[in-house]
Amino acid sequence: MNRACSSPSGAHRLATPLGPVGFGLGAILVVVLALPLGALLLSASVDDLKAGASSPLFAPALWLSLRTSALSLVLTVLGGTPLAWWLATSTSRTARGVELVVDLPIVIPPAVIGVALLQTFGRRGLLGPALGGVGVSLPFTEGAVLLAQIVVSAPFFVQAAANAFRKVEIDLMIVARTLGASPGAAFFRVAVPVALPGLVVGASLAWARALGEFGATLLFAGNMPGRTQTMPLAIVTALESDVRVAVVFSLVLAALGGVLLLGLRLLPAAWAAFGGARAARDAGAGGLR
Amino acid sequence: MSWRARVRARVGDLTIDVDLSGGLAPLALIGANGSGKTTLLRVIAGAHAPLAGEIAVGGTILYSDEQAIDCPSEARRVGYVPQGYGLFPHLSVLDNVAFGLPAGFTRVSRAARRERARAMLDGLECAHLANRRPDRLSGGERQRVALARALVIEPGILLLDEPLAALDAAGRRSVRDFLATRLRAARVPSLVVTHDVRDVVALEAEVCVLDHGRIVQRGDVSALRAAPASAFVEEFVG
Repeated sequence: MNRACSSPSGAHRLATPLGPVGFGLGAILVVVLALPLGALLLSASVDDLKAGASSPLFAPALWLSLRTSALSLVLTVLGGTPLAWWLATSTSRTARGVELVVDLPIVIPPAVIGVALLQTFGRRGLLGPALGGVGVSLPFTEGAVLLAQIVVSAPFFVQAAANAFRKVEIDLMIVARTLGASPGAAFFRVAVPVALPGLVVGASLAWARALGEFGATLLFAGNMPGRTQTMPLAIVTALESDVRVAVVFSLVLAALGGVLLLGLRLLPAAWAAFGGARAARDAGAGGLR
Repeated sequence: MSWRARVRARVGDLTIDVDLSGGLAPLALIGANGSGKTTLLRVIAGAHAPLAGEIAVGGTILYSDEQAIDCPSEARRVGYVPQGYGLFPHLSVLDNVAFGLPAGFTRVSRAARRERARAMLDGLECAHLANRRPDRLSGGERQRVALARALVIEPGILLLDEPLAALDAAGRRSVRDFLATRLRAARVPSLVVTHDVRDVVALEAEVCVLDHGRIVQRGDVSALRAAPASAFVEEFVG
């Protein structure tokens, strides 16, 4: 054996093509990303936590955030799933055009979306007079909070779902059909379960984005405690009077995000375990005969 | 048991115009890449709509432009085994095979459904794989499971797209012989896409040569050898 030619360990050598400079820059970025979160975590004492949780802003804002972001997620999945399937399977120019439109809110600043929503649903907006005629006024209501969240978060779900559906082999769908499944049954029994990990990731991203929505909500729904003040807006309001309360609110939002991320990372393993459980169940049924 | 596919279809840039028929003996479909072999199978399976013609299997008309019949895929009773076998990755082997059986809504009917799938797996000597996931199967095992899944619906015709291409050379011979035996035992007409003349010989199949969507030659291997219609055929039988 020629020792000079053998790799010292299993690690391959493509890992650090940019040398110490690249490594240093990367390390700095990690610190920049992690340090603020660490500081946030260290800045709150137990007493602060108690003070924050007992703030009159806390409970209504948290409840409103959870309620509206959950509902916006449900509505996004309901509309986004069939839309994503169409975007993934259609080769038409219309589909490519629609895809572009759906992706737009990702690159447009939320504040701009807020103004756009006002220009659409505001009293002097595009649909304002028509809505006013039937006694509906959307701006500065919980409905406005919901709408702002959907517009900024739905693109993340649709994009992830379309990518997941694109990976479902067409042959799987053809086989399902020849085995007696209607188009709808083939979709729900094959396409959705095969794409499910991607759909869950998309839904999580959309939910996180809706939960953190700030700019569009502020402009279109306002910042009214108990009515349209979501957690991110409550942080700003709290910051004006008591930094400690703002810190606690921030910690709660960060924790929700952290739990979500952890869930996403554990998902593949959980998925395999679920498959194992399923096989075990079938084995049990086989044993009963 | 006889079948006929006289169809004209246009899929993408390819136009298919064929008149094929057969009985219980397997028919091997050969041709260069892009000649329309897979597309033809998909047209018969109902995945692509033909422009005109008639598809009939065992006396049942599945498609006819004249009679305005266009049976949907799920009602054609066609056993389609795509290239790579197309096993559902999220289902166990048993659930893959049971997929085509009517859903069971009671405990008894669910058990009966599973029982039937298990019996079909047993017949193809792979009952021991029932609880495995497709990604834990060898190429030969996948082929058996795909065959079981296609046969469990009691199809009028089997459409096999390169059933041996995904196998390594070592396992290929035994899987080929197994497939040939099973196709004869199943007593179902079959249309088999292949690139290997040894498959044709093992299946004792007649050969149909497809080129740019048209049939350029049909006959058994010896007839093709005697008078190959093209350089492609000559190389295939050679």
